[in-house]
Amino acid sequence: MKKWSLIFLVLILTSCGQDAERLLGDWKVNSQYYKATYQFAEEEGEIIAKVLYYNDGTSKYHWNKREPWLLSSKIEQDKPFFVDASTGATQQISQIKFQLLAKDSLEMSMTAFNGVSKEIWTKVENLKTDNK
Amino acid sequence: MRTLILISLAFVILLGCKKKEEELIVNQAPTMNQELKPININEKGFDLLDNMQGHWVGRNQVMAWDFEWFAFDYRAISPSHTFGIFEGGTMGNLFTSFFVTDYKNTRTIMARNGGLLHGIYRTSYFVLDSVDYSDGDFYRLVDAVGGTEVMWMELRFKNDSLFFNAYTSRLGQITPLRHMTFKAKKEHSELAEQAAEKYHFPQNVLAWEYEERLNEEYYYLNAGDVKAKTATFMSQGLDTDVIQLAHEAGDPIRIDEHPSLGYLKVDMERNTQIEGTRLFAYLSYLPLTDENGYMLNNFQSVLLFPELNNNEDSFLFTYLHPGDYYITIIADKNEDGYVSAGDITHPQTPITIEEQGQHQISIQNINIQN
Repeated sequence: MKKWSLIFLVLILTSCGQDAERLLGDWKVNSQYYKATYQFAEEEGEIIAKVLYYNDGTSKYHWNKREPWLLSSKIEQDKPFFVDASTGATQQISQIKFQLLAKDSLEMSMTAFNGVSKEIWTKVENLKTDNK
Repeated sequence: MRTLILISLAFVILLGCKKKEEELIVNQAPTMNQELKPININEKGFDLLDNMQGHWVGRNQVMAWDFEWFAFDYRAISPSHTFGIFEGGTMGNLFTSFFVTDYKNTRTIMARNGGLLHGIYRTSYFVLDSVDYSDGDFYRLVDAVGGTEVMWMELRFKNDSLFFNAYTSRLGQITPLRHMTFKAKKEHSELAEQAAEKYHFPQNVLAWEYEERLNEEYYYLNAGDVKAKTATFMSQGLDTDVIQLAHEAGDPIRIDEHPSLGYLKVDMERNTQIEGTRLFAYLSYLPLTDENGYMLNNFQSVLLFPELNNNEDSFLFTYLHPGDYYITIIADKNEDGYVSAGDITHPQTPITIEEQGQHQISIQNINIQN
């Protein structure tokens, strides 16, 4: 399994290395409805999206390694998008797409309940995560 | 979104070995292994009823729709039941009411949520299962059958603010996603206070004996299911009366059994100026136009705000709190989707809704261009 993961990472980094590098890092959501900061990180040869902070007004979360929240556990590139391959695989639920815009911004679009909602995320300086 | 987070959280906790082939199970339907424990409101949580009261104004995201202005008008309709509704007009309506009942041998609060959307009648029942006072007043109500595996709503009251979120799963077919995010402030409380005084609200007395009324044979079943995942009741019929639909759905608490609430049928005459124009049919507690039909800056007083398609000339308000209103029809002449300069209105028109009254009004002079 690890071998395949390594090959996957190599494929990403060679075929779309610059985009993948731009994706990695911390991103703040610009939303009227909730606050969140996500982090695209490379772990065990795959790109995942961690939730560093989430607050929708009734639920709050700060990154905690013992209780990790992930927006996606497997992100793949499907030009010109990065897609959440873990949710799209079953075709039951939403499909999340990330499209890099300017240097420090991306558009997240999520298909759910027969509609598409979009958010603009802005890159922020890497935040220190509490890996307690 | 949050559910995607929770999906992965569950995945990491339950399948800690992280085998990639096992990632594909994260979107499975509910396992229905959750044990539901209602909160005993003799101990805590009864204050949800009083907290909910008032005219809440803010913005609302429902699935992919963004309502930049949105309101719920919560008022008591009995000593232990408060009710609020969104009347969308052509699209249908959506209500959530909160009431005292007994469930699983516990005195608690349940929510009745549903409405009539495009001819589909649905009501779902939720039970209070979490209360927390550490950061404002927080309440969670979960599907009375499937719990958080199917759907739930969360409310947090802090100072004069309300955060009201709902998470749904297509009635148990997928893992829940955040469905509604309503952020609001209490704009007005006088109407709610009047209703509370009238009904001696809130009291810890049974509003409905839910379990006695419940016939589980009517629970909605997803295709292929033999056991219900959700406390939901559904029926369908584009030309069927809502009361008939309620009977067909086996709804334990039907619209015609509600105390206090009335009906208003509004007929609108379309003249040549507004032929084929979208209409807003607003009910407010202050007049939105003057005696000559020109708009006043009172739109913060709007309580219900349905939109009617270009060819509709009649609308029925249901579940309507009794009281004094102004009915204002606004033709969206410039088709910008908002009330704005250029739109066509009429002189202010007051109307009083009696308790459980059935009313009708005709608006024939929609001809004043602002």
